[in-house]
Amino acid sequence: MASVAIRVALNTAWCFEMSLFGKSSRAILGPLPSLLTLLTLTALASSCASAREGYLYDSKAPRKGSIVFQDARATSGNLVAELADGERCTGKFNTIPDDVEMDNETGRVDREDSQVGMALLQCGTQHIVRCGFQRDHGGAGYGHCSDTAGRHFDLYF
Amino acid sequence: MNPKLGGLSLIGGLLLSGCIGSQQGQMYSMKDGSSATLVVDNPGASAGAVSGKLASGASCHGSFSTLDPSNAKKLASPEMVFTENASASVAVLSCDSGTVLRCTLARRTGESFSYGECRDQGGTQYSMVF
Repeated sequence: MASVAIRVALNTAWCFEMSLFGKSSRAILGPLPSLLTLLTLTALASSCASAREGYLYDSKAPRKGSIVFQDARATSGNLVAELADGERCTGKFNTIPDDVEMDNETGRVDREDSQVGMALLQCGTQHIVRCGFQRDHGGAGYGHCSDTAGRHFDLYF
Repeated sequence: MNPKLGGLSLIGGLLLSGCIGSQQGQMYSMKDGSSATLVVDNPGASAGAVSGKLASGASCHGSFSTLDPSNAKKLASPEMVFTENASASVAVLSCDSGTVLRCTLARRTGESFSYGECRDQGGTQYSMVF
């Protein structure tokens, strides 16, 4: 089983700096600004915590690249990746529900326990990587990718 | 409630749910990476019109309809995943250049499309994420 790393924050150092700012502002500005700061920090913390990093393993060589789902809990969003050869890519992903919990009264989907999706990465000129994946409600998952050069990758995140 | 405000709220809600309006996606050739566009009218509907423009400049027109996800799986590549708890659609577009695109599309039921792929008669695949 391949190792999977979870990036807790988009930019850990930046989030840490913001938490320090929250502490210092409480002392300087009194309770109301502190409340506003707390709300802001909560919003920032939730966005910081939702990024998820994974790996793109080259199926024919023992090397890997990295990929970051910038908002892994969202049903769709943006991606950045760096392939094993150093090529940088940007793209987006979107999902549909797989396993769901239904609301018995309304018959509507109450919660998506897992999702499947597709990701498209635009790398160098006319180099496209396409991935099909499945993931759990926490945003962790795996998939398979192929590119316009005929290469294949295994995706874990 | 103010009738004008109610009307605007209704239109806004319909637009957000994908019931009216159109949805545009960028479609990439998995052969050479060239990009094309695909536009779906009424993306929240069970059937409707689609149009597109290939990288060559050729215009394409066609329609989409909903089908059972198990049937959509048979038409699509392994990386194009469908589930029983989502909606699957098929679209056929005819282009000025003589190219015919056969597409499969996936979405949350009643919402706009999430992703899809098309294949022309030469076997070239095009992928899109909305």
